[in-house]
Amino acid sequence: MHISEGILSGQILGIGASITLAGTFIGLKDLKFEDYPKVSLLSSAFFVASLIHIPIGPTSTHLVLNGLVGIILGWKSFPSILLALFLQAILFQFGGLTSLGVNTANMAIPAVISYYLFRPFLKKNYFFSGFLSGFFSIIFSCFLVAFSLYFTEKYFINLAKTIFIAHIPVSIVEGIITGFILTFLNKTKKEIIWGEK
Amino acid sequence: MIDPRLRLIIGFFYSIFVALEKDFGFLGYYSILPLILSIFISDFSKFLKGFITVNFFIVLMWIFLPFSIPGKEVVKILKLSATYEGIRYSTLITIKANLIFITNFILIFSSHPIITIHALHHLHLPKKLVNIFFLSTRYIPVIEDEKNRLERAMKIRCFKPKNDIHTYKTIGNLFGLIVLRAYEKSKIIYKAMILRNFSGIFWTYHHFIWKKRDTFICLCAIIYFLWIIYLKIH
Repeated sequence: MHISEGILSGQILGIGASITLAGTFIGLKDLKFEDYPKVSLLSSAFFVASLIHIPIGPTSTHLVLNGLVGIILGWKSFPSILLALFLQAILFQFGGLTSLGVNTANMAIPAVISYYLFRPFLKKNYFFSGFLSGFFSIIFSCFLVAFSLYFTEKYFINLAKTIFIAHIPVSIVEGIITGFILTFLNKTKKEIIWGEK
Repeated sequence: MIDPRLRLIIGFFYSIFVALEKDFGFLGYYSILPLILSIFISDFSKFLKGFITVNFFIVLMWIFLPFSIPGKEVVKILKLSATYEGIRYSTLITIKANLIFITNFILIFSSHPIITIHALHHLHLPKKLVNIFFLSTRYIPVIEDEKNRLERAMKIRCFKPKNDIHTYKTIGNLFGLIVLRAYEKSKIIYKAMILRNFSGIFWTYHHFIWKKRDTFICLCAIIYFLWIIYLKIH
């Protein structure tokens, strides 16, 4: 789902970078001194999560967990995802520096939406809300990736469709895992989700 | 070595210039910088790994794009015809992606992430963002160790990943535990920060020193970019 360098048009790169800039600004605005370690360490944990491979059918994929990032961090998921993608770009060459803005926006917009959409229902059923947030975030991210490709060059449509269809099973597995993670966190340490009172 | 701040700026501007290029003729001028820089590739296995990763998406694109764009037919494979326009566009993207990769690999990716983030700090990125970047990058190896330890424990207990709900639940719990450990560690770090009177600045031992050579390289880079702008206008 990381779009490489040199593919997208200037307009799409500009729009993506502006959204990421604005989102990161909002995310950092209410970040207090005491939040530094929590946000940083959770970002490290989410980066490490992307190194875990899970089997899906005959292939395997890595965890994205942007739904979970969104539910726990809210707007702060913008800087968190920006960091993860920046490190993936400079360490493993997934994505790139010019497409960093677009890639971050594609992952972080669904994260923030799932914060508003699914967090209120979390207390009713942790697993189900978690499943929905994980499922929705991946599907919506894929939609945004397809959208960025399509608006660069409308002949990308076949590639965009394939990426979208290939990610449907991924989103279901991601949803199940997000549901289990939230159930686990609810049983062990609720403060991670709801903050300390 | 060139000053990391300068490397970051050159890499950034070069990437933007190349990413926005639509004209085939200019790619020759753009390949001058990566050609000069390619002498400095030291870690070939890492370079090859990155090269394969970058070109994975490109290969995916080659499967679809030459057959999607209408135009003059060149080859026909299984009733699908690849067009001249499609192949031309795909080649343009392939060259652009690889030019940016080679340049950035030598300028930015070959140095340690902490050095890159330190350079970002000197380039006046928001202090809060740099602080998060610093702390997070510092603790990734620690959390990764934790992950490896937990995975080893799972292996000892004969866990084999399959396509079933048990696997997904176990991986969910594994990751839940990683988040939990990360959170608990963050509490300890916060206390340590207070203890050391943290004021929002991470002090480092190593500082960047701007040398005469950096000024020279900076001038060369400016002339190079101005030359390309000049050629574009005319």
